[in-house]
Amino acid sequence: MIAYLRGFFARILAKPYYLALSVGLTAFFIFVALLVSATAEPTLRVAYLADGDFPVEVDAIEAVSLDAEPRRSELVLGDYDVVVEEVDGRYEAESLKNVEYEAFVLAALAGEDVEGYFADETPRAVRIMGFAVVVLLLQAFFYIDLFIEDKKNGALARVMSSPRGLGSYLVALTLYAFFIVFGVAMVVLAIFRWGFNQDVGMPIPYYAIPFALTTLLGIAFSLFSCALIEVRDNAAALFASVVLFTSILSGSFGALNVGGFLQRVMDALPQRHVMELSDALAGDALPVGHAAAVLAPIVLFFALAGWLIRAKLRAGRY
Amino acid sequence: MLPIIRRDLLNLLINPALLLYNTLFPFLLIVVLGAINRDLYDSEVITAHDYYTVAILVFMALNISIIATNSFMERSVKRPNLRIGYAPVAEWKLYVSKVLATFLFCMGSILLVSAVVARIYGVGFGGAYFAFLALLAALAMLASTIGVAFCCLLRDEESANKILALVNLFLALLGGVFFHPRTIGETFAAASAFSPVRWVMQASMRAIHDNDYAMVLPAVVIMLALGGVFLLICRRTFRLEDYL
Repeated sequence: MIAYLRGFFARILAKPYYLALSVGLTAFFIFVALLVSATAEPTLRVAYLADGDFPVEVDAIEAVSLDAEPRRSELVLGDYDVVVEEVDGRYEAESLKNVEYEAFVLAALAGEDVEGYFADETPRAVRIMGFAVVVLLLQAFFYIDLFIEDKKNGALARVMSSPRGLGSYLVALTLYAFFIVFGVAMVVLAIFRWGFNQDVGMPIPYYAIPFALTTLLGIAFSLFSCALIEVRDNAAALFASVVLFTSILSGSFGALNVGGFLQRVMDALPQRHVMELSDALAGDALPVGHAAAVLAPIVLFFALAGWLIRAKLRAGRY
Repeated sequence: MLPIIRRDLLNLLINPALLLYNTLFPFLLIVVLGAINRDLYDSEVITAHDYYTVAILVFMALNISIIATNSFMERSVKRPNLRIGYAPVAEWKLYVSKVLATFLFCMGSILLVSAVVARIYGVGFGGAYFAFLALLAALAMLASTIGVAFCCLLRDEESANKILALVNLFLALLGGVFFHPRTIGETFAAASAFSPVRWVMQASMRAIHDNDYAMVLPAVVIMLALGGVFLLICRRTFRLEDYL
C-alpha cells in the first residue's frame, strides 16, 4: 500500500503545474466558503421614502433614503427588502417577501425591542459546515483523476493481478486524495481563524471530524461514480449534480423545513448529519449517532465501487 | 462548417449524461428551490418558482462553458478534431463550430426547460420572454467562447474545467444567482457591477417586472463583444498540435 501511495504522490508531483492549480483551487474554494458562511450577517435593507434619515437605529436594518419608490425588479432581486413610507404621520411598510419583514420593521419603528427578532439562530459552526460540505465533496472528485488514468492505460488490470491486489490500491488512492483535500482544508481553516482573526464557531481541532468524514464521503462517492460511468466528464456531471442537489436539500445554504416525506428524505441525507454533528460538537457533545449516519454511506459507496471495479476487471473492461 | 456543427451537436445530443445535466438537473433545481422557498415571495405578485426559473436558467447558460470544453477537447473528440485540422478546412472553423454547436445545444435545453416550467408552474416571464431569451443567448454565446478559449490557453480540458468551475461559481455569486451579493459584504456587492451574470439578472428582472427593456440591448452587445474577444484569444492561442 505504501508503494502505491508513494507512486500516487510521485505522479502528481511530476506535474507541478497541475498540482499547484488543483491545491490552489481547493484552498481558494474553501476560503470562499469560509468567508461567505462566517462573515455574512443577515440584515434587512429598507428603502425609506421620506425626508431625512430613518428614525431608528437597529443593527439588523440598513436603511437607504430614497426620493421615489424603488423598481419592483429591485425588490425581486433583493436590492431592497422592505419599502417604508410615512403617510399622515403613520409608517407603512411593504415587502414582496412573504415573511415577517414588514412586521419587524414596523415594530422597530414603534420603538419595540426587536433585538434578536431577526437574528439568524443557526450556529456559526453549522453555517460554516453547510458551505464547506459542498466544497469538500466537490473537490474530492478532482483527486480521483489518477484512478481514471489507470483505468485507461491498463494499470488497474495489472494491479488486480499483482500480489498486493486491488484493496491496497484503493486504500492508497483514498489516503492520497484524503491527505490533500483534508490537509488543505484544515490549513486554510487555521489561516482563516488565526491569520484573519475570524470567529469560526468552535475550536479548530473539532472541525477535523466533520471535515474528515465529508472528505471521505466525497472520495467514496467519486470512486463509485467513476466506477459506474466510464467517461470522466459524464461521471463528473452526475457527481456534481447529485452533490449540489442533495446539499441544497440538506439545508447547506440555509435551514429548510418543508415537512412530510420530503423532509424525512432531507433529514436522512449525510450532509444533514454532518451539520447536526457540527452542531453537537460546538456544544461539546460527542455525536456518535450522526457520525455513524455519515459513515454508513461512506462504507456503502466504497463497497459498491470495489465490487463494480472487480466485476468490470473480471469482464475484461479495463 | 455546417457538417462539423451538425456532428458536434449530434455528439452532445447522444450523450445522455450531458443531456440530463442540461435538462433534468436545472428542472429539478427549479422545482426543489421553488418548493422549499415558497414562503419567501408573495404568491400574488411573484412566486419562488418565477424567481428561481430566471435564476437557474441564467446559471444554466453560464455553466455551458464546461460543456464547451467537453465538446472541444474531450478525449473521444480529440482524434476526429485532429483529422479535421489536417483536412482542407480553415483552422478557425474547428473551434467556431464547437462554440456554435455548444450554443445551440444550450439554447435547445433552455427552451425545453423554460417551456416545461411555464406549463407546470405558469411562469410567464412577464411577457418579456423574447428579451429574456436574447439575454440568455448572449450569455450562452459568451460562456461558450470562454470555455473554448480556456482550452486553447491551458491546452488541457481538465485544467480548463477546474478553473471554469471556479470562474462560474464566482460569477454566479457576484451575479446574485443564489443570494444577493451584499450578503457577503459591500465590496463584494460593488464588484458585482462587473459580472455579466449580474447584468443578465438585472436586465431580465427589469424587463420582466418593470417592462423596462433599456438594459437588454447594451447587455447583449457587451456580452457578444466580449465573446468576440475570447474568439480572438482562440485564434491567437489555438495550436493543432495540442490534439496530438
